[in-house]
Amino acid sequence: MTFNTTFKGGLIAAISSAIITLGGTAQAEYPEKPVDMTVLFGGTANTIAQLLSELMSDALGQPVVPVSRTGGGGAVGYSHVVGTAPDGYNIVWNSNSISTTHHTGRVEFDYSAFTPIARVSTEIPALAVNASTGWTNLDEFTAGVNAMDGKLKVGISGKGSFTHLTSAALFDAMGLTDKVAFISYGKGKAPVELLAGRIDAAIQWPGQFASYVESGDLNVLAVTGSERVGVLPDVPTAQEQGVDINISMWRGLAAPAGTPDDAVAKLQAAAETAVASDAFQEASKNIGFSPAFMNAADFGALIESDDAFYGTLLQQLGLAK
Amino acid sequence: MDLFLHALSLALTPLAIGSIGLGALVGLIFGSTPGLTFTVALALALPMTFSMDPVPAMGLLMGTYIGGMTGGSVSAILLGIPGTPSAAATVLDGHPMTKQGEASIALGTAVIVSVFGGIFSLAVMIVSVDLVSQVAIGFGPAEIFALVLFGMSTICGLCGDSLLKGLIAGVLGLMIMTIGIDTIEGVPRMTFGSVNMLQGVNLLVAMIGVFAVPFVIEALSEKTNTSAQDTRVVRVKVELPKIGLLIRNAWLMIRCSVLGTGIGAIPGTGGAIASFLAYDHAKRFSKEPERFGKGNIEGVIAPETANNAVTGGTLIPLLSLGIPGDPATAIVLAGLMIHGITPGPALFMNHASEVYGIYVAVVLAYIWVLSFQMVGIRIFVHVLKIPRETLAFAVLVLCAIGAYSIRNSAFDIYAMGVIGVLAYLLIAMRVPITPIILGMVLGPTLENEFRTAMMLSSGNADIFYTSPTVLIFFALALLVIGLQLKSEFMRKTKRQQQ
Amino acid sequence: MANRMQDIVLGATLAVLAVIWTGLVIDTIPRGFGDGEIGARAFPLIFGIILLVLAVLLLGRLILNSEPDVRTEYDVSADAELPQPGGVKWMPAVLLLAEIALYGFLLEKIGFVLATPVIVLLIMLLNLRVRSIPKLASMSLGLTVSCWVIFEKLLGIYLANGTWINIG
Repeated sequence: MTFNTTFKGGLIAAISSAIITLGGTAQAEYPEKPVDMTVLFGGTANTIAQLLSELMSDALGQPVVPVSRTGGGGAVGYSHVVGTAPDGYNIVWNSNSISTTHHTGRVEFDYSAFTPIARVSTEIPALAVNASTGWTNLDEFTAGVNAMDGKLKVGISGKGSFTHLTSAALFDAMGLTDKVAFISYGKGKAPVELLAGRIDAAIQWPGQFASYVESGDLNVLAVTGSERVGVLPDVPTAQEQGVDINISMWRGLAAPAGTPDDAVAKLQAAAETAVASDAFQEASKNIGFSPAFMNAADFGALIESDDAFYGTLLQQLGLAK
Repeated sequence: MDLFLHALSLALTPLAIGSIGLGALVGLIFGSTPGLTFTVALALALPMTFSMDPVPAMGLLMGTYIGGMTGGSVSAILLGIPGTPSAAATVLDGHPMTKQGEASIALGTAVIVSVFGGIFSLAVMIVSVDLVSQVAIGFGPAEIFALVLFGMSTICGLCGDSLLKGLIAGVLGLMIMTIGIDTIEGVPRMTFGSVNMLQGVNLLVAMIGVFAVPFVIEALSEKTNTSAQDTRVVRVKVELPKIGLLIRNAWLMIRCSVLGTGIGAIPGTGGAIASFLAYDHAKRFSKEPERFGKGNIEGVIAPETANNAVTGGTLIPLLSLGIPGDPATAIVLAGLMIHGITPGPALFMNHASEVYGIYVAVVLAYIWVLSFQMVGIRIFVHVLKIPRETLAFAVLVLCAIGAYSIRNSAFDIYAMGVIGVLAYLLIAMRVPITPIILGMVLGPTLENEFRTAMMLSSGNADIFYTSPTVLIFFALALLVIGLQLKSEFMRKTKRQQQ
Repeated sequence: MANRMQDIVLGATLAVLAVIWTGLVIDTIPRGFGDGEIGARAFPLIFGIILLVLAVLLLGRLILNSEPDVRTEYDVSADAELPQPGGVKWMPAVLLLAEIALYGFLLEKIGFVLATPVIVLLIMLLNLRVRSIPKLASMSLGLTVSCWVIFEKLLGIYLANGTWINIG
């Protein structure tokens, strides 16, 4: 054991001297080695991250390596990044999950443990129902639900998930809170559950519904953001239909707090170039998200105001810790 | 016909054929290396497809998927360490065959029946995609729960000499998978406040631990002189299965293909359940069930046919409904989406020629896999000549790389170590370990579907006896358990008479 | 008879484990919200109870039925690759667990390229008692370099980078 501790002590000493020398040169010219980008989720988040990192590598002159660290609704990846050195070589592909993981008590730290770099994209949830209901807009939907016996079964991807929060906020704004029951089911199954009539409505990402809308099987009644979405241009927003709600999921980049400004500036510029590229714009149409670059300062303000919003919402739903 | 010719012209370009071959090769390497899994290979292949045309891009991904699924049997047969959960059932008879010096026959058979199962399911899919997807839509949470319960009942056939110990192993597997965040309510379970425990135990990590670590412990505890130890004769001969063997088992192959295709078509199930059901089915209908588990070729044919038949089956919900069956197909889905091929009911209207191109790519992938493996088997069998200690080191490092690569987390390496050592102790106590894997594969689905079904019915249990499909699967599960108890009883009385 | 003793130990350990598990589940996991919801607690709880019942059955069978279980006699024990009954190699097992844990820790701290030779050397020295320098060097370096070339360079897998020190 003595051997072990001395060994460890020696190692730490050797390493810290290595870090000091590295630190000296790092300030000279960022970036001089690959940047490690933590990805918190699979699926769409991962696909966008892989594309973004490739485009950013070109702009930055050093590879940006997407490294998947999933689990705990983002808690695992955020914890990893918080523990790394704030030198610009460790960044996280973040999202609103920073607020939900904090407010549900999964991680101790909150958004202020990170320096925002840039917002990159947004995804706007959409409300869909089976076409056989005949509902085509939110008014018909509200009237139909109020006329129903029992509760409307609304599919979500799990308690505390983003689709759950969006559904809760939307139905609250529409005054239907007492008429809905939330059903959790596996990811990506929303269209089939709607088609089979096992659930009555679902809030999910528009890309999942696109093909079913085209075939006439499902009706998408509204999207919850302030603007319409590219994959479903005919679907009005909830605001257009008189329901005051503006919820969208953003994704962006952040680094541990204390990352030097020049590194943040270079990463922000690389992200801006990547988002403006044709490849990124093209992919956004296919996958169903919106490119939405926003600089570090504005992004920081957005994160702050969103965090307050989701904190209150989770409190109301009894999910906050 | 024009459509078909157009599809051929898309899929038969040198670039497409090459990328399918590359995918098949990479998939085979990942699938056949203990520890590495083809889900990771798919994740690595995805960015490579960004700049390609849709058909070569999908060819690369489908090639990787199919190569990986087929490759999983290689280390299962040679080392007793399955390359994917779908190959866990193949270990039961494939590895004993290796010990009897018949490794190459087992490997050759596995490849040929895999190709058969894959092509068969593709044909079924092409002919009946609409019909099957209609049936698949009817599979709600209650139906899937019943199917998974039926799958669990096959534990009985995997227990070896003690039903009780097999059930214990199954329950341990179920318990392990409840650790982490509960997906339905979002609450942590048995995490002791640790952030790393929130990610739960990954199925692949646990599988690597259960099969590889006991092997490494045994091999590395022979601490005497390393070279003198290897006195056992290593019989390495290359002998491919004879046509007669395949013809004799044609009917079994067809049945297992149907089973695999059907299960693959149901969203949320997958290769592992299909291969276990097929194994159990083969054993139950065999004239000599007592030979199973000791190197019976039928015990290789059944699971390998079924798990590759799943590849065609999963394409049905993937393409016609846009639902991925497992993490691997989720990456294939991402590949489709990024190339603007949005799966769903409108797919066949908008992208018919690309879809047919993908079908051709699947056939090509199987041709590549077959030719790679015919060469590969001759190389793979020489793994058996490597001294056990050296092999154990390689397996240990590969498993660490593999476990780490899934989520890039040291937690997974700790989990692999802990689960592996526990599995070693269980093996020493004569507890069969295959049911642990079955419990882990099916546990999360079993729980989540049951809870979703109860939510759908507002807590009313009649959802489980009003659907005929549910009742059929319950009946099948009861039948399997009943037959098992009967044969246990008969064995006992026989012994008392002696 | 060794088998029987071993099964008693197994049954008892599992019973204790099941009781601890069930207790922890009741203590730490909240029940469901009602309205048809089967809470997060139900399944782990049921699994714990089933394990307890099975462990008790195993013990009960051993106590009631004193004749040795004939069925365990076939084949399995003839398999040289499996640990023998009563022959659990505790030292190697515990040692390897410690080494795997250390490996995981070192991977995060000093990266794959440094952690791998350290662990391979450690296993060779401690488990296999190899003392020949050429053997030690060739195995640890050979394995590390070949894995690094094949996986990091050829196949593009992300091998761990260290947070304390990082080369490669």
